Amino acid sequence: MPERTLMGGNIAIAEGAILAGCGAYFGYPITPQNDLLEHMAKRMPEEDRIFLQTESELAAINMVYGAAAAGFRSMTSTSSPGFSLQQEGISYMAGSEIPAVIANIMRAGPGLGNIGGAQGDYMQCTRGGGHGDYYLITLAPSSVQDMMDFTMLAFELADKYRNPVLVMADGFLGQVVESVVIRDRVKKLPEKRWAITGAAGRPKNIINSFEMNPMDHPARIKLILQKFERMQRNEVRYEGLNLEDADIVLVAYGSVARSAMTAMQEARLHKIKVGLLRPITVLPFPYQPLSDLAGRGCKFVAAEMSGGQMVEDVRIAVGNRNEVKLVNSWGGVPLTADEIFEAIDLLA
Amino acid sequence: MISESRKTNYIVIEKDKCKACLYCVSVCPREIIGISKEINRFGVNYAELIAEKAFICTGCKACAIMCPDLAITIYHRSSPDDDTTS
Amino acid sequence: MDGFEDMIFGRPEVMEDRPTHFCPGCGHGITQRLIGEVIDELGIQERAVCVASIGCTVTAYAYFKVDGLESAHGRAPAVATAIKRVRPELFPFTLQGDGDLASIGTAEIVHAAARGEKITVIFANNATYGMTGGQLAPTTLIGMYSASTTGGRTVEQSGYPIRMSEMLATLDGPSYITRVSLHNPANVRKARKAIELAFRAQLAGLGLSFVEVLSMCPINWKVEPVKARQWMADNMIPQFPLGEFKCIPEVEALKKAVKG
Repeated sequence: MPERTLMGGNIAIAEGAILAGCGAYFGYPITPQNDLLEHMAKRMPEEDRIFLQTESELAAINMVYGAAAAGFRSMTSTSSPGFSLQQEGISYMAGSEIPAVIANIMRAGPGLGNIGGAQGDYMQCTRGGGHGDYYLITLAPSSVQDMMDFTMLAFELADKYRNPVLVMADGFLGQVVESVVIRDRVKKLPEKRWAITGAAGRPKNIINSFEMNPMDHPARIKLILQKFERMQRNEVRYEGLNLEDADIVLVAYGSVARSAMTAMQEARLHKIKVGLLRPITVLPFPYQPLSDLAGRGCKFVAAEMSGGQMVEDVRIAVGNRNEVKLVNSWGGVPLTADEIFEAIDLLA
Repeated sequence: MISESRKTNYIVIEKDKCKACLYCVSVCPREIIGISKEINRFGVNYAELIAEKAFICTGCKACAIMCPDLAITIYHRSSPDDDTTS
Repeated sequence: MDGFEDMIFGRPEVMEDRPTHFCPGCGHGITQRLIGEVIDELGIQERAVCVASIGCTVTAYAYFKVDGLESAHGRAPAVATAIKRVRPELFPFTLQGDGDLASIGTAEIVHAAARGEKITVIFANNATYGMTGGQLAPTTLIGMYSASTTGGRTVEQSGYPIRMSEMLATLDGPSYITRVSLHNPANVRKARKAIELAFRAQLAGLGLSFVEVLSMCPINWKVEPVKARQWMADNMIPQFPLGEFKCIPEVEALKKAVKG
């Protein structure tokens, strides 16, 4: 009988990381994920693992790189302004093929912004975020169970592709308390022959993102681009609800998917045939299923807490075949089921 | 006590590592290192041991200590008759 | 000829047999060799980890037969901290220039030092941003030419150079902080001893050990290498005095083990 308990969203990320064998956590306080940091401060030493509160997000991401380079599953968590600071470190890890997990508990930006939840980092997460050609698998939980499960999945995918993976949540989801099933601990971690463990009995391991000879650099980038192609082929994940007979498809992720579900149920009561396609990976984005639905004649409502970022990916999938309507909120204010329903109603 | 004349210290400068910074030339207390008239693959007049003065090398290692390019190796050769207990 | 032939000075075993990418007379070449000699002396080749940084030290790991990695500008102390915390049996050392450590990296070095992280930092101070062509550095001297202060550094525009060793010595975390120089063989020998003592401090599990090495950069100082040695003595040393700024008793006790 699996153990079930009540847990907050941020805490579920922390516990998920521990279950996945995260050996080192480095973090810096920033609202709305301070409870994640504090929880790790207490739990990691209990598990005989490394915790350090760092002097900045810059230091945190570089420590994640160091521990990951030494072969440990390593993670940090932050919120949007701190996530901006970490782009350099993430770019270095992507360029050096270092696995890591970064949780971004999004808040409203730009700048200091607002501590309320938002989804305004979507572009930053899915279009690289830092400099150079790279892509990060980006998982979007929309329940506390997801927060735990996707954190565990993130470590697995990070090691699989030797690349950082993002867990992209928002401030509201971080604070929500729900019932979760505690998953089993990961028993065996993959071997990492490339890691920094001391050159005893083997040639030295060098970790870098740079070639002395500039002519050797394109080959490196090709490897990264090939990784991205493999991610697109193998790692698309989404949930579809009531899509079989839908005329209107809602596209929403994170906590907005919850409001979208309520709006969908309300619409069905009004005899409007609404379905929901909830991306689980916003990178790689589920373009194909959306395109298939467009081919069937569906209209789309993209719902998000931003000025309009995920909607662009929906438009890429749909093209100009059918209408794609955006319903959104911004500035750290939640998007309600009523607002989403209104948008559906206008379209129906 | 090994007499001076029975000991030989000699330096070997790898010409293709030398960048002609001339630190070795400037620190040698016996001035036994000079500048070659030839150039190496870096296109510089590399430092080289002045053959006639080689035998007066004291083995002080100042040249090798100052060399940034690990171009200098120093050997100490002693004769089998030497009293090695001193 | 009969006799015994000993090599009394040669390339340290841990160092790769290759020419360097440094300019003629660059202090980095000497500093790296000293580190190599100490790694051999202490027998830590299999545990040492070279954390390279940004600047002319960017390919430091190419010169040592040890595990090595790149780090972003200024961040090497954070990277080394993480490696030491997850694998305390390893021996991470950073090699950083003044642009890296004293400019963009001041937060990381101050906090690694304040926390007493058990790592060793070798700080090559040549008062310039070498790799990028000689721009103003936090340690550039007043009146000194730089590519971004072509009329010479002025106080009004750019303030004063930073003495990192003295600053870090105010912290309780570090176990050993010293400043040495490379301008003549006697000082290179002292630099070697300082680096060995710093490494011994880490081996003894003591707090952050830090050696600031005043290093020649003839190209960006715009003097010939042999003149750079005197330039160093005339200009750098008055601004950056040589000596120990912190040496806790446990490190004092290690001095008798240091060779030379």
